[in-house]
This record gives sequence, C-alpha cells and structure tokens, in this order.
Amino acid sequence: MHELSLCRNLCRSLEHEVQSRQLKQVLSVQLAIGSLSCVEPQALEFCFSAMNKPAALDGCTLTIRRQPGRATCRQCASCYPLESWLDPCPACGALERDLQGGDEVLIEKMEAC
Amino acid sequence: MCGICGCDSAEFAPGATPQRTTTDVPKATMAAQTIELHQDLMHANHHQAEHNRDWFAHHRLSAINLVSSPGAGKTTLLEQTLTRLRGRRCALVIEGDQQTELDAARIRATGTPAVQIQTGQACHLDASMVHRALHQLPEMDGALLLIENVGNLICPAMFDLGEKARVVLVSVTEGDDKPLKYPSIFHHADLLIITKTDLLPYVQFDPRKCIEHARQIQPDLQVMELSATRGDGMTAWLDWLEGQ
Repeated sequence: MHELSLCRNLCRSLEHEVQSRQLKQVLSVQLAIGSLSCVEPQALEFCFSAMNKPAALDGCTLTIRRQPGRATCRQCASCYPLESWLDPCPACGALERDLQGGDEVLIEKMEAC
Repeated sequence: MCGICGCDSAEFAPGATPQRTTTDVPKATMAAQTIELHQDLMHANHHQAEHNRDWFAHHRLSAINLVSSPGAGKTTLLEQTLTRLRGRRCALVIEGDQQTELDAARIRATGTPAVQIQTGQACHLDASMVHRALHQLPEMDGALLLIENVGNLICPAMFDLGEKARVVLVSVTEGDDKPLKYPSIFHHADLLIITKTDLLPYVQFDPRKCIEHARQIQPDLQVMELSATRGDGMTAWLDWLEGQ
C-alpha cells in the first residue's frame, strides 16, 4: 500500500508550501500520474480521503490526471504514446523501445488562499 | 446505485464522473490563487537515495538491491553466495521483511553482519529505511552490500534505495509470464535471475519464454539461471558480483 506513503508525502509537501508562502488553506490539488507508474489512482484517492490530514488541508479536493508514457521505437525510431508496457510500436509493431517518461508522479498545481 | 453489484458508491452511478475525492469540510470563501508546483512526489525518497549513493561511493560499497515475489529464493541465494564469497570478498546484508528477524538470523549464521528492517505496514524498503540500517552496520570499506527487499513484485519498483544494480529473481515454481504481469519491476532491473532450476523437470516453467517476456519489457536485461541449493550457475553469479 505505497499509496498511503505517497499521500503522506503529498500532505508534507503541501503543508510546506502553505507555510513558506504564508497561505492558510489548500482548496484543491492536482496530480499527474504516469500510466506506467506503480500508482493506482483509486487507491490514492481512497487513502487521501481516509487519512488524517493537517488543518491546512481540511476539505482539500484531489484531482488526478493520467499521463501516458512516451517511447521511441528501437526499430523504426518513431515516437509514440504508451498506455501500457505491452503496447507495441503503432508504426512497425516492435516492442523494443526506449522510454522517455510515464512513471512520474507529480504534484502539478494547487489552489490555495 | 452501482449497476454492477448494487452498492451505494456514487462512483459507479450512471453518468458519474470519478477522479475527485474530498472530505466534508466546506471550502474557505477567501480569494483563491492557483499555484503551479510541478514537484516530484517521490522527491524525498530520491533525495535520500542520492545521499545513500554518496555514502556508498565514500565507503566504496557496491550496493545490490534484490527483489522478487515472496519465496523466490532470495535468502537461500544470499546464504549460498555469502558462504562461497568467504575469503574472497567482504559483505554486509540488509534484510527487509514485514515482520521477524528470521532472515537476518540465517544470514548471520554465515558469519556475515546483517541488519533486519521490519517494515511493519510498508510493503517495500525505502531509501530512509536503508539509511537507518546503514548506521547499524559495521564500517567495512570496499564491501559488497546486499539488500534483500520485501518479497513483492509491485511496490519496490518505485523506490530507489541508492543501489548500483537491481536484481530481480523469478523461481521456476512461478509462472514464466511473471514479467508480463508485473512489468514495472522488470523494467527497472539490471539482471534477471531464474532460480530453483533443479526443479525444472517437475514444473511447466519455460525459461526461454520467461526471458523473452522480460526482454519485451527491458531489452537490455542481463539474464542468469541457477540453482542455489545444487550450485548450478553460481560461478557466473559470483563473477557478476565480483564485477560490481
């Protein structure tokens, strides 16, 4: 259940932003989660809603944006988006590729006052 | 109401748009501002992993992170490895399990210093756990540091420990389609070891297929096959370790 560890990291990061920017309340936060990451968005949402959060995050809404991976085919050099590890190159069908992303877990933005 | 099982979940109600989670406290009414952050949520672990890497470099430790499902033979491989390395190379071991000191006790029986991390509710080792364990190990510059991760093919994939190389084990008593089912951990591995090859006559496992599947995920993956209990393939593994 690494989603709970991630939610704790998220709360710590947002709390730090609130303090350093002298804000009071985080109203919403948006994450971008790569489709090749080992993070399950529903589990993350569940943990975020169930966990004890600092007062500055009371009522904070979590939005998750799924971000496809990006790959370059080793056979034909075409670049293509990757939803799953098993997607072949749409141009030539090869599976050998180099990844340029897709396993990221980013805090994109927050709305705060 | 959910159309699948009849539960009250709003998420499955017709026309529902999931992806938003909130607690019940009403929002503040003050003017809000949107702040772009673009922060890596794994930043704290990456930062600690870099610190570990600096420590390893400073003490010339070669850190190897061993991952697999539970029961693939990580501890047995380590026992046999450490017994054969005696007099050849100094080694230290960090053991990760949810509970008990059992694995560390097995390692210590080979004469190798070992620290057991009991992760409690966590399903993986992270860089800060390894950092704390490093402070409990004796100083031994130039040693091999073998880190046995918690038996789990999902969560450990995300957590860089600062290691030099990651080794994933698949035993022949598992399915040869494991790399397709748990691709992420194979993508992040440097070496695949197929273990318990002495049992091949009794199981349906096809090593060739397993390797093919793993290289679909990670084309540059190195591969070894061995039986730690019988000793087959151990020389190649020890040579690989020697090169680290």
